[in-house]
Amino acid sequence: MKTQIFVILALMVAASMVNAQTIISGVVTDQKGETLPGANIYLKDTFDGTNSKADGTFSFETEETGNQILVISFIGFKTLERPVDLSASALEVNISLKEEINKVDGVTIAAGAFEASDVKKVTVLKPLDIVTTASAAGDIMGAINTLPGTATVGESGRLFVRGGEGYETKVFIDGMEARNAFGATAPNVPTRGRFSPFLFKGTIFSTGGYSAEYGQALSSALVLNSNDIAAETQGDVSLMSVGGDAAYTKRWEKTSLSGKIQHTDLRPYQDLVKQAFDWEKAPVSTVGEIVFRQKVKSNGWLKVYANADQSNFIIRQPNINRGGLKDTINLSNDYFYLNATYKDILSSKLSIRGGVSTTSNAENIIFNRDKVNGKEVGAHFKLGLNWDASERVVVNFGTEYFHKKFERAIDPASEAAVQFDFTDNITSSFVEADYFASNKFILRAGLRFENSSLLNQSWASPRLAASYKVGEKGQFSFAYGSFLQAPQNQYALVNTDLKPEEATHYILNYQYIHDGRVFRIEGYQKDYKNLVKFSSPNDFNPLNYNNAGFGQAKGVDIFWRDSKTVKNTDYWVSYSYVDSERNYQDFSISGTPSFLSSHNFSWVIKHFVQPLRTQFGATYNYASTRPFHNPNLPGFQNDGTPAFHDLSLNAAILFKQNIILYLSSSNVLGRDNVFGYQYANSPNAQGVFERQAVRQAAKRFIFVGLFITLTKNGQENQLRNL
Amino acid sequence: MKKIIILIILLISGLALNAQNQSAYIKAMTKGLEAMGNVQSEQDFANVAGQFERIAAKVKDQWHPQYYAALNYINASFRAESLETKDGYTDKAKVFIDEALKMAPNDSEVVALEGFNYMAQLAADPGSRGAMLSQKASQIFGKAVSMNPENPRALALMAQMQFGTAQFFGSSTEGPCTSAKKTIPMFKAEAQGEGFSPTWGIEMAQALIENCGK
Repeated sequence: MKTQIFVILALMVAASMVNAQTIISGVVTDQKGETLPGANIYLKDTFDGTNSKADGTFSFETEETGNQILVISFIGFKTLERPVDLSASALEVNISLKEEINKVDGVTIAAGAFEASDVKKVTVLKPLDIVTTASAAGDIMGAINTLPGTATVGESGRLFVRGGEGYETKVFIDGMEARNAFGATAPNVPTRGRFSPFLFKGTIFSTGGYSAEYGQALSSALVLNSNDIAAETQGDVSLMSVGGDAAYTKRWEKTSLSGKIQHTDLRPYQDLVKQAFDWEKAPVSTVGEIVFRQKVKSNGWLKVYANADQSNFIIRQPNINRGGLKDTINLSNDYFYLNATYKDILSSKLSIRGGVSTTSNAENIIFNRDKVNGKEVGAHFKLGLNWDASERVVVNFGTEYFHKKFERAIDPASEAAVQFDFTDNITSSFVEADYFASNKFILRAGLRFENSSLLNQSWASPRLAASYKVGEKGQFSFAYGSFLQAPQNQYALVNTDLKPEEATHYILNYQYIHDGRVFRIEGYQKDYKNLVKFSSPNDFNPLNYNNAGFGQAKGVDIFWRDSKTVKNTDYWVSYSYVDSERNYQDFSISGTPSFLSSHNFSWVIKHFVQPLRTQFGATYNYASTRPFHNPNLPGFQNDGTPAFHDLSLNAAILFKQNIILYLSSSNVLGRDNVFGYQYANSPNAQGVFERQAVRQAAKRFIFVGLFITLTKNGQENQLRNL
Repeated sequence: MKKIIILIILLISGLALNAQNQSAYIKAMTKGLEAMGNVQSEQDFANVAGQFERIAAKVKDQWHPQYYAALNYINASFRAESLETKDGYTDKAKVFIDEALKMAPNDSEVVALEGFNYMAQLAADPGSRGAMLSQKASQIFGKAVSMNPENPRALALMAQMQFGTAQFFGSSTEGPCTSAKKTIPMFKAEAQGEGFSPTWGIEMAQALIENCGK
């Protein structure tokens, strides 16, 4: 008995030692029959396997026997598992792999959107580009204004997109609304964006047709995505011709906290450089910022950002109706913005994001002796989910709540004070599904639903987009959508029954990206309806306000970028053509509004000179004539300004690893650009309406800044900032 | 008695099976490391990476297969032509590094490799990634050095980054060159190797030292 067992055992052991060998060979191809080199072929749960060769063939030996599973995996393809029987000495297996849907770097919804991102590989712009643009002078909006679809409106500084006014562009930070994203200002005094470009790692500038996730913007959404956790503990000091700032960042394992104080005072600069504007007191502002980042467990991120900004100025502007006597405008602004967001991955198929943002903006204006005090308080709550419903379908859905309270007190020196206010709460939900038909074709359908408490009414706005990839580098995109925006505060204040204004976008786009070169052409048509109309801007009779306004805009935007042809040189060219008319506000008939120039052209170039460790940059901006209404001539919007030209230059010198010197100048050629004319309300003795030109604040704006970074090892600099 | 014998036999065969598995792992790893010694082209690196990838798919409790799969994909990325291919390799390497980091989050070798992958991504497109990734890579090399100040790879990679930066700014390369020289005896001391611990990197340090002379 004992011996029997031994014999059986010995035989069993021997059997496993005497290994039959099987040679497995074959060819790996894709669905079209093209061979795939470099695919990984192996027997599951064994060490036996190989990679396919340059011609897609493979062959390997195994000592395994019986039924096994052959695994074939390759980047970009679905991993295949095939049962095989290893009883014979040779086995031939031919494999055809199916392409995997690539939701990140495959075909993308491109119509309308300019994305600057480090995350996605195929983008038109990099985050760095925003701040190294010569004409931008460190303002995000300045850099965005060199992209097609925007129009130069020099006396404003805001983003005017595709025949839309400045208020039609809305700014979002990490998906949350940022009201009053531009600094408070007086008429015809250009403003800047409030937020430092250094806060953001990515930007999506949409000139139309954007996602159902974004609402309350007629023309454009500027989506800013903030930086993640700070790299390390460091201090930063900047000394600028217009002020200075100091920042300190502390980094822990899973947390970072930064604080920054910036003080801007244009008085010394304006004493030195002659100004065309008559400042009684040049702008002074103090900004405090706090940035907090916390990693929660393995995938959660908590981000908090706070910005408090106090600014004031006094300017004297000549008044054509008072024989050139000057009006004094004294403005002081208190601004506070808080943005807190959390995102996390709930499961392999579900991720969540939520947040809250609040804005408080108080503008106190003394116009000569009349006081106007305005205050806007906004709050935005959002909860969104991303659901990988299947291999081909991603669903993005969520709900939002917007609160807005606006009050304005007018206290004229000679009349009794009046006060207005209104509150609007908008509840909205959005749902949007992306369907990846293949790696070449994606379809997106979305719906946004909004309800306003002020009007006690609801609206649904549909969105639709599709992209089709032609070859490796080119892609066609289409987008359609209906976009609503509540009337501007100053109108809603007078008549709280005004409906939201509405724009419908149709966009067709072709984009080609290859090897450091980008070409884009986009045609669009935009129809406006329910625009606010009134008889006179200073009318407080609600009955004189209605939604009878309408208009349309159509045009073509072209973008070309090349960072390849010339070494160390990167340039882009933007051209926009727009044809637009509207009958809105106090227009008597349809006409082209004064902010609109039919042709806009920008050329941005950056060249790095290694021996000098200096990046030189130049921007040339051109805008064709802008219409204005000349009461001395028959017709409406019947005259035009001269064209706008601006050549700006900049240089960033890396002195040492931690010291950067930055110089820039706008309008180096010193051109006297005219943005429009203000006409007197009544004619003079000769029966002629007199006028005065709206011009630049100064011939040039020159900026000098020294940026110093202090770390323990002295390795870092603010290079990523420039 | 019978039962005891059966028990013993079962025990022995069980151990043998385990040992067989163990020896198959050692055999496969040894074969992979041997193949690593003969690589030249991008395709060779990718193939060797595939070899380690197969081991990693079976042996899920050792970081070495993950480490070598990533290392070879990184090296393939340095030799690839187009940006897309380079990024494909470093993306793949990232997957294995993340796995290895889960198993050995405080191992200086694995952390240094994470930094090496950032260095490869940087090298693929220095113009637009330099500013962002040089900071990240330096920080991670610093972390690897602090985990084990005797890890010559962490030191040599750190020196390589510092050398590049110093050259760019036209400042003295003395610091990185001195620390690169210090790594040579460290590399030589470990040349015998223990288990599957990484021993690569001396050529990289030597090339750097050669550049220092110029």
